[in-house]
Amino acid sequence: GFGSLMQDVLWCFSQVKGTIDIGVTEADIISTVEFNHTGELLATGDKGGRVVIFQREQESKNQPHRRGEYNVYSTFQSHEPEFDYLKSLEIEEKINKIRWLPQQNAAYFLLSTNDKTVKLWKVSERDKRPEGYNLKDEDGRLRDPSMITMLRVPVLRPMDLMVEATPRRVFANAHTYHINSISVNSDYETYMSADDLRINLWNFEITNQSFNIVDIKPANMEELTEVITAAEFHPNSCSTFVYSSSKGTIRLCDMRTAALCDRHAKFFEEPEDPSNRSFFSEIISSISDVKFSHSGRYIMTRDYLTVKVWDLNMENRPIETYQVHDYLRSKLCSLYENDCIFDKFECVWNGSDSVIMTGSYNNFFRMFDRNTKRDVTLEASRENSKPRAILKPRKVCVGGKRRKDEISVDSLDFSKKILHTAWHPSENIIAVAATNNLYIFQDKVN
Amino acid sequence: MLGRGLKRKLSDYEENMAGLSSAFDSSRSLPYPLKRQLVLNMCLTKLQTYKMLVEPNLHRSVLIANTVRQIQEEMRQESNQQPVNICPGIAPSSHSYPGMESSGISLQLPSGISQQESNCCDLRSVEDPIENSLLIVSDDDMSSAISSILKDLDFVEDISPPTCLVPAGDDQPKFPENTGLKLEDDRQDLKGAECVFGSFEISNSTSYLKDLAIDDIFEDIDTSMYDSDFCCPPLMPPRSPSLATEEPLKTFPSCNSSSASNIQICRTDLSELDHIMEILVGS
Repeated sequence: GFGSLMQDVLWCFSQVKGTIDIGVTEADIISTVEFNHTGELLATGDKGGRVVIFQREQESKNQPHRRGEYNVYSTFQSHEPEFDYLKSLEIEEKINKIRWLPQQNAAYFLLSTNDKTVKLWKVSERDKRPEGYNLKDEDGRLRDPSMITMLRVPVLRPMDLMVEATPRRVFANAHTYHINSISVNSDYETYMSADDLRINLWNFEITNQSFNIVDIKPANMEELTEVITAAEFHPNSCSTFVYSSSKGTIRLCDMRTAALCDRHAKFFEEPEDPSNRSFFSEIISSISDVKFSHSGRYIMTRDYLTVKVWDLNMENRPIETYQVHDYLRSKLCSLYENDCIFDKFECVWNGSDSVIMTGSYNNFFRMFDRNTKRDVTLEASRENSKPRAILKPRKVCVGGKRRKDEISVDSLDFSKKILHTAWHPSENIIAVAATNNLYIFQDKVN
Repeated sequence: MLGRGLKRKLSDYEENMAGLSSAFDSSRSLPYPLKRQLVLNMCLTKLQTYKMLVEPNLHRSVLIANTVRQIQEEMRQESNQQPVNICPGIAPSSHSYPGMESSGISLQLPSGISQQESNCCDLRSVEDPIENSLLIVSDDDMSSAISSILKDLDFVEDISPPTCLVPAGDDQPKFPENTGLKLEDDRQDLKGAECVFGSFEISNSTSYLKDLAIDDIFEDIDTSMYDSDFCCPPLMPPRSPSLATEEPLKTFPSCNSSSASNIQICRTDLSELDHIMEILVGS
């Protein structure tokens, strides 16, 4: 069943999507992963601007061990590379974020965004087609009206299932800087998009107008010391949202107080630990992701070395701090030199908000059980990819004698980074993006 | 060098820096000023590299600029507290920090860099390739590096601001007034002219356009084609409408094919459009 205690959960390999080629095509690098609200669909976006949606197959009584595998449902090109002539800049087609809308009819809707433009896509099925038109024949050729002697009503006949993705709205020209987040409001009528300096509020029906709700751009750019790094709406309160900054702070804003939410309602910041101070303190405090818990009571933030859980009622420090890879603290200069220190890791909650997960290097990812305080390091690799093979916990050896099966810090592969992960909304199924491969892990079926 | 799989072609300089940063991480005996100098040089190099990019990353630039500011502040406080230089052999300017002579490494730092030979006994006594790689960086150089990169990130703004329902009594929307042209007082002594006007910025306020001599601005823009039948707004440089491009004006639909199925009727502000046309036509 769906257990919240991690010692009860054994994670097994389920599937892997993507090629095994040694050279990775840049365009195939997965840049975002997101389950929809039921977990039936799993969407990925990549650097080439494509979206691939997987659908979970119905569980079959004949094959109980194949617990609902995810198969390709739809693939489409969401964004194309563009060129901004006025600024002589190329606009990358890389999909930065995908967010699903809750399902309200037979069709599925999702938002996908690159650096500048958000698009609303409708994904719908067609399994019938009309036959028996009066004015055209079966091949589509027009019939001579004078030859028609009787009228008939076209009938719908079954056809092979076709899944179509159509762009329903394009929300463009609202961001001077790069979009890092999109978030659907709980009213399902509006959503927000955030770039480095501004956050805009959109109505789904209106594409040529957006409301600027946060603007931190100083009059003089030389005074700029802080940028917006992520933003999200509260899951239940449609006037509340949070945004995180490059200085490690989180601001909670209420849209009812003012049209321009430049004054926060709450300000979350942890005082700096003087014993850990270094030249890189500010850089590693930059928050790369912020996520509300499903309950709406907590927010989780990810900075370079830690994941923190904050209670909305306590602004002066987080209630929980988890070390993701503290062994990197003594390597910060090298990580700064090769730019790894700027990597933006995401973090996710499980459905019951009892376990949190985030990625690391060497294709490792980490889970922290908030109740038992136990944590585990797992690896997404082709070597551990036998069907239903149980994932063995990994360990990084910090110094001294390296045990068998441990890996030393200096042997870690920093080009294999897990930045994007997703957790099924109600089950123990996780999707982990490792460069150009998507791994799906499930808990062991008893 | 950390790990394997870092797919980069290392130049000599990068190899040096990789060695230096490994030394920083692993060595406990490295004196603090040397560590600081190393970090500072890395920061300035990164900023310089970003400056050469068409579109520097704003987030990274801000983080690096803040690190430089932090080091700058620390150095200022130190030099205020210790007027006597730790290396008696030098007579440096008040805001110049001794490093070591560079050997074979030339960094194009903002103007004002001088590569002095240092007589600093304390630092030289440590025989280390690290010292040979560091350059003297002045306080002005740091400031100009920061302002230079941040100015470049001040992109040309949209003509119409993001539609903002801010009632009259509320906070003023932040329209830059004399953008890119005014310097703060403590940076008036910038030496490099190229740092100052990194990018040309059009203010959000349309009154700015009235004040300028329009002919000067648009001299080099070929507007001979803007009479053609384009679906794009007239202020844009001429281009084919079939290409998918972004336009700065929010009130016009983007001319890309994927939105063809969904062209919204744009509610242009006709008076604003007329105003722009007047300026262009020069009436």
